[in-house]
Amino acid sequence: MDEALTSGTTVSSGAENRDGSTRRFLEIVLGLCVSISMIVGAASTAKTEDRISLQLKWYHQSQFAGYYTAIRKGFFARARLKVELIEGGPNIDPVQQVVEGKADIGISDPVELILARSSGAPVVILTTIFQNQPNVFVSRRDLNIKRPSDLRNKVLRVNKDSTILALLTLLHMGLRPGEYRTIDAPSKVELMRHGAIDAWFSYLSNMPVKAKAANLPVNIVFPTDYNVHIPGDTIFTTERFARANPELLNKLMGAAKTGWRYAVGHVKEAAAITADVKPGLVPETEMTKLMSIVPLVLNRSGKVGCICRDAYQDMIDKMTKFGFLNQPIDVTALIHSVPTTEKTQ
Amino acid sequence: MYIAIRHKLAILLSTISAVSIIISGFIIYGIAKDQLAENLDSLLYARIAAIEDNLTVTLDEQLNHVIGFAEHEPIIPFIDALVSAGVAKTFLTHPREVIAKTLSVLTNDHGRFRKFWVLNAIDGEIIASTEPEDVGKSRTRESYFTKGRDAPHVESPFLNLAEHTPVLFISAPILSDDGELLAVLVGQLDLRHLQSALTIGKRSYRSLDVFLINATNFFLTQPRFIEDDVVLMRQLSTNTADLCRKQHEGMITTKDYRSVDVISAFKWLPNYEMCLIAEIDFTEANEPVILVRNTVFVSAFLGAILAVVASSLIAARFTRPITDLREVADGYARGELDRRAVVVGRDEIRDLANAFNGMAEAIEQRRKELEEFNRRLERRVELRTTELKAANDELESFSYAVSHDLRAPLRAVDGFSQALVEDYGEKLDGEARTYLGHLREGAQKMAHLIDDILKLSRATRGDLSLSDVDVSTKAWEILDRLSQSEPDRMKRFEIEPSILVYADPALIDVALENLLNNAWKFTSKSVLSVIEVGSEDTPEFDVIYIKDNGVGFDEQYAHKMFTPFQRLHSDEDFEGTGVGLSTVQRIVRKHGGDVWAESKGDAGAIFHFKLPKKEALAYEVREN
Repeated sequence: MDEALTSGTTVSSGAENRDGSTRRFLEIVLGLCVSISMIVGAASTAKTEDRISLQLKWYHQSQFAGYYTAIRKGFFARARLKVELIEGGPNIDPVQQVVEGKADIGISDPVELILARSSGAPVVILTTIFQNQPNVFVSRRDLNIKRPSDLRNKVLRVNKDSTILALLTLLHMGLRPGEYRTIDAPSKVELMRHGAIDAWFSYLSNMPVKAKAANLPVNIVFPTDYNVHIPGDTIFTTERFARANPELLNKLMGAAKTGWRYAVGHVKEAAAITADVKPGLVPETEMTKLMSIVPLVLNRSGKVGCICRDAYQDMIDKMTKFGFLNQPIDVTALIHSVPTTEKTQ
Repeated sequence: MYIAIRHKLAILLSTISAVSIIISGFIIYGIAKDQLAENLDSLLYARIAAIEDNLTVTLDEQLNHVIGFAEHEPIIPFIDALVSAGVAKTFLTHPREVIAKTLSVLTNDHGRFRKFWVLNAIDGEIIASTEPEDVGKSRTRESYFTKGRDAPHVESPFLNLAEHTPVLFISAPILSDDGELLAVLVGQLDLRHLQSALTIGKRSYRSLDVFLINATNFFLTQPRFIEDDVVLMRQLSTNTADLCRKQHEGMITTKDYRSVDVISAFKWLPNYEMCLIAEIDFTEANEPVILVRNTVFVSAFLGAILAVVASSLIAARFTRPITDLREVADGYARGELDRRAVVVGRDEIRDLANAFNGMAEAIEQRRKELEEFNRRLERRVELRTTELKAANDELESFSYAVSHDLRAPLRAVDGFSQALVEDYGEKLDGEARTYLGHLREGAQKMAHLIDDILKLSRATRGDLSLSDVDVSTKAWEILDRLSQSEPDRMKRFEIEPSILVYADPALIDVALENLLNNAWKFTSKSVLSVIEVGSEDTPEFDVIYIKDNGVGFDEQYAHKMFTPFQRLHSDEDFEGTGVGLSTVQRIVRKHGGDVWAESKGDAGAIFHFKLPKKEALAYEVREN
C-alpha cells in the first residue's frame, strides 16, 4: 500500500478509440467464447476440482507466501481445489472485488472489513492469518524515537488506507489523535533521510528493509512491545458465498493454513517459491520479508491463524468511540461460523 | 549314472561341512548383528543422556544466575521503588542504572546473557533493563512473564518479532523482603550456548548429528548437514519430530531432514520444552554389521571351499586302497597274474585286499593244476594220435593193398572166364556157359565192390580244400547225365536255383552223385519220376534235401542205411553195393555236418544233409 503513488497510472488517448471499438467487439466475442468454454469446462470438471479465486491485498510478495506454497506444494490440489490468485495493487480494493463477485474470497485487514460491514457490505471473516499487524514505526536513529511517547508531537507518515489502523495502534500505545500529525507520502528512503517526516508507519518488511539497504540507521518501535495486538491479514468472503460453500471453504482454509505452516517452517524454500511467482522478485529480499512475518503467522502452540474475536471486538469498540463507526456492529455476524452440524462431522 | 565312491564321499563330506559352516556363519552373523545394534542403541542413549545432563547443567547454571540476581538483596529496594512508582517514570533513572549495572555482570564478556529485563509483576512492563531503550515495553502476554511470576522458568525458544536473534528466556520472580511479588527478572540467553552444550564427548561416529528442536519443531541449534542458518527459521518435518512430543523418548530408523536413512534417538526435555535429537546415518551405523557380515561370509565361503578341498582329499585318501585294488584287479584281468593288492590299514579294505589276494592265489593254483593236467592230456593225446595214426596208416595201406591185391586175381578170374567163353564157348554146353556167366558176374560185382571200398576209404583220406560250390548246377549236371541213360523214362526234376554251400567240390560231387543216383534208382518203378532238390536255412548250417517219389524205405531201419554194405532192398529189386550212403555220410561228417533220411513208405524218401555255413567255418578256423 505504500507504493500507491509509484504505480497504477492508466493512460488512454482519443487516437486509440477508433481501433479500440473493433478491438473491444472482438474482445467481447472472445471473452464470451472463453466464458462459455469455462462454464462448460467447470461443469464437466465440477466433480473433480473446485475452482476458486482469491483476491490478494497487494502486489505479489512474500506477504502471501503461504498461498504460493500451498499451490506449489500441492496442498490445494490435494484438497481438490484449483485456486486462482488475483494480484492486488493500489487501485484494487479487495473488499469491493469480493462484494462485486469479481473474486470468491479476498485478503484484507479487519479494520477494512469492520468498516465495510458497518456500511452494509455483507462480508464475513473466515480466518485471520497475521495474528498481529506487521506495521511498525520507523524513524531515523538520530531522531532518538525509541518508545511510543517519543512520537508525541511528531510528524508521522501514514498511508491514507492505514489511517484508522495507525490511529488504533497509536491509541493502544497511549497517543490520542491530536498529539501527533499524520501525512501521506511515498515510502521512500530519501524522504526519511531528508527529515521532513519524523516516523513512518510501515510494514516491518518495507521501510526497515529499505533503510537497511540504503545504510540509513533507524530506530523501530514495535507496537507489540506495548501490548498492541491488532490482527492483520485476514481471509474473508461474502455471507452468500460462505453460506453456499461451507465445505469448500473448510477445505480451502485447511489447505491455506497448511501452506502457511510449511512456508514459515521452510523460510528459504518459501521465499524461493515466492520469487518464482513474478519476475523481479529477489529470493533474498523475500526471505528477509518473510522472516519478519513468521512471528505474526505462527502462535506459540505452532498453530497458524486465529479467529481473534476479542481483538475484533476491541477494534469495533475503539472505532465506535472515535467516530469511525456510527454504531457498533455485531462481532458474531462479522465472523463466519461453521454450522454446528458441519462442526461435529 | 556312474558316480565314484570317492566323489560321493567327497560330495557328502563337502555338503555336510559347508552347510554347517554356512549355518554357523549365519548364526554368528545374527548374534553379532543383534549385539552391534544393541551396542549402537545403548551408545546413542548414553550419548543423549550425557548431552541431556550437560544441557541441564548448562541451563541450570544460567537459571541459578537469574535466581541469584532475583534474590540479590541489594537491588530489591530499587526494584521496589520502581514498582511502587507505578508506571515507569523516566525521572527514576537512578534505581534503573543501579539495577542495570548490577545485572550487567552477566551480560558483559564473562556472562552469557544478552540482556536482562525487570518486568513489573502486575502488567509485565519493563521497568529496568541492561538495555535502557527497552524500558517501557510490555511483555504481558509472554509466558516467561506469566510463568516466571510463579517460579523460576526456562522458556523454550520461539521466534519473537521483537527479538530477531534466537534467544532463550530464563525468568525468576523477584520478591520483596516480606515475600510479596514485586517483579519478574528475565534474562535472554544466547542460543549459541545451547550449541556448545551439545558438543561433548569424543565423536564416535562420523555422521553423528545432535540438535535441538522446540515444541513447534523449529530448529534451536544448527544441524550438521544444513549450511544455511536454520535456527528458528526452519521446522524439522521428520517422523522423529512428530514422535518426540508424543512418545517423549525413543529410537527409530527413519529419514532425516536430508531424506537420508538415519537411526534417530530422541528425548523430550519437558523442563525446557525442547526435543533433543541424536542421529547417525544408517549406512555408518550399519558399517560394523556389514563388516561382520562380510567377514563372516567370506570366512564361511573360504571355509566351505576349504571343506570341499579337504573333503575331496579325505575322500581320495579313504578310497585310495579301493582304487588301487581296482587297478590291481584290472591288471590281473589283463593277464598280469602276478599282481597282488597292497595290504594296508586295519579295516574292511584290508580284508578286501586280503580276500582279493587269496582269490588270486587260488586262481593261480587252479591254473597251474589245469596247465599240468593239460600237459598230461596233451601228452596222452599225442601218444594216442601217434598210435591211432599208425593204426590208421596200417589199416589204410592194408585196405589199399587188399583191394589192390584183390583186383589182380579178380581180373584173372574175369579175364580167364571171358577167354574160356570166347575160346571154348562152342565146346561148352549151355549149363556150363551159364555158370561161367555167373562167375563173370560175380567177379565183376566184386570189382565194383572193391572200387566202392576204395572210394569209401579215399573219401575220408586227405585234407579238405573248401570253396563255394553251386549245388544246383551240380545236381542238374548229374540228373542230365542220368536222364540220358534212360531217355524214355517219364520224369520231373525240381531243383531250387543257386543253392550254394562251402565245401570240398570233389567230395560234394561224390555225395550228390550218390544221393541223386539213389533217387533215380529208386524211382525207376514209378510212372513219373519226381526228384526235388532244395535247401533250408538254419543259423549255423546249410541244409540240403533231396526228395523223391520212389519206393521209400522202412523207417525203423533208417539208422542202418548209412552202415557200409547194409542194404534195405534186395539186389533183385535194385542193384547196389551198399557203400554209397556210408560214403555220403563219411563225406558230410568230414565237413562237420550230418546226413539223415526219412520216408513214409510208398510216398518216397527224403534225404537231408547239412553242412556248416561258410561263416561258421571261418569262425571255427579262426578259433583253431
